Amino acid sequence: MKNGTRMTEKNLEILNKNIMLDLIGDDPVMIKQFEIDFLKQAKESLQKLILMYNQGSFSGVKEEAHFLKTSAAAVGAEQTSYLLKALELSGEEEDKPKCKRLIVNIKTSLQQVRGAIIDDSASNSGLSPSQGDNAS
Amino acid sequence: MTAHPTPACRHPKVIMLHDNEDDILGAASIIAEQVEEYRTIPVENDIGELVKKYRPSVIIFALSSVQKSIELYTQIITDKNIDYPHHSILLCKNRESGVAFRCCIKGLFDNYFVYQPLYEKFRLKMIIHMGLQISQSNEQYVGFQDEQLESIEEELAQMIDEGKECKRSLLDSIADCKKSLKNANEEAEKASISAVLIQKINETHIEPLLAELEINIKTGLDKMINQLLINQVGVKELEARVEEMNKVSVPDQQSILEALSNTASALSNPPKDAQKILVVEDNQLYRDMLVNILVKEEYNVDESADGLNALKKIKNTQYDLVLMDLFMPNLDGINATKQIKSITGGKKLPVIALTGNKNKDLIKTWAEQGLKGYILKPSSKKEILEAVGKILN
Repeated sequence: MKNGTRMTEKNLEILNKNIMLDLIGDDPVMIKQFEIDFLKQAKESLQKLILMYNQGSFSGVKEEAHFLKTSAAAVGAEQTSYLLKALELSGEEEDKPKCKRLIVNIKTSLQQVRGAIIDDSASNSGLSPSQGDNAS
Repeated sequence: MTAHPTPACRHPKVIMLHDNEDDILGAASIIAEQVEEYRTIPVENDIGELVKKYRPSVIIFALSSVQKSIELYTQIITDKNIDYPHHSILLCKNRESGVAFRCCIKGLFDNYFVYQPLYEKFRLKMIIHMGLQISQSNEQYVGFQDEQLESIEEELAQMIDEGKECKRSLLDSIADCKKSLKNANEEAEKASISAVLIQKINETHIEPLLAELEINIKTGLDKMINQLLINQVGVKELEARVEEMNKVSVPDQQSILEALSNTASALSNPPKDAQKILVVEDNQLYRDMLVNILVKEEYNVDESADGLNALKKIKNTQYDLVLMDLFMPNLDGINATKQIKSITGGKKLPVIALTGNKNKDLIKTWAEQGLKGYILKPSSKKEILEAVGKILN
């Protein structure tokens, strides 16, 4: 990916700030705004993923994972983007246990992204730590 | 009523038909004592016509045998010489009393009397009395007066009269009860009819009216609620506008001067508004990023969230370039690109694919629809602008 390095789970960053710098330029206010927008978008998208999973809609899981993957990659949430791509494939394969495991991992990954983006005290994204626990 | 027989009465109420005058002398004299309008008639060929002519209330058949009396009565009826209510009495000899009794029980005659030998004078009078009473109205037949009856002891006569009054009272009471019962039945019937009518009126008129009224009230309330909701929405919109206006602060002089300066600069160096780019991407966040990058480079940028909306815009607006995502709702990138050809009427509109998909077959299929390049998501600002510039410049 960046600098031609092959993307593996181990060398992926929670939030690669260089991605946004390359994409938006050196505009901290604009970057911060996109990061906050991503957290809001991720919250809604995660809720949809859980809903689709509980309804047994693998195509819904696949489409929603693909959707969120685009913005995750754009803001530099590399681990999240990687997990979303894996979820997209698991949805296509209709692998329910794997989908469940990945959704839980995505939730954790997003919490880490939030931690990297803003301080907990300043957070108004609404993404709570319990988000995603409804996946059963 | 007279004490003497009047066998040639012109309009007799009682007639006695006989075939042997000697046989009926005793009975005839008794009846003649009792009834003034009475006549004895020997049975001859025109007997039917005579009966028809006289129309007597009581007809006494006193032929020499019961069989002859039956035959005659039946013949008169068959010939329709008697076609009105009347009372028929059969006189018979003692030895035929059993047959006569049978005739009455069967309903052919109304009563019978043994006249040979004749023992019970008053019994015959009673039979005639009953016949006249039944077949005539009270005005037509007044019955017996006391002086016509045989003298008896005064005490006994008084007892009879008292007994009569007592019975009359009983009969009147029964009649009153019957009348009350009849009236009650009629009232009940009327009430029943009223109830049925009320129910029918309810079913045919009242209930439909109530139903219509209910619908009207419901419709009216719905309209009122809708109107209230509309008003509420209007108020909220107004509040939002006021709030928005309050936020707008009056620019200071320095800002105005800067704006004027920028405008002048823009006029001297016109933006690349001749190069209009349409960004088609369903992910708003990434779409905003692309638009932000392109606007900063002074491209004239428009955006769509799916392929179908993009086609509508392309139909109405002339673009120089389209950045197109692959997977989108409503219409995906491949099919949208395919449709662009027909919409632009052959004029080539370059399309750059926005894709994170590394499926070569898919990219190849898309490329066959006329792609001019692709941007792998998420490329850097530099890579995006190079891809765009390569097409537009």
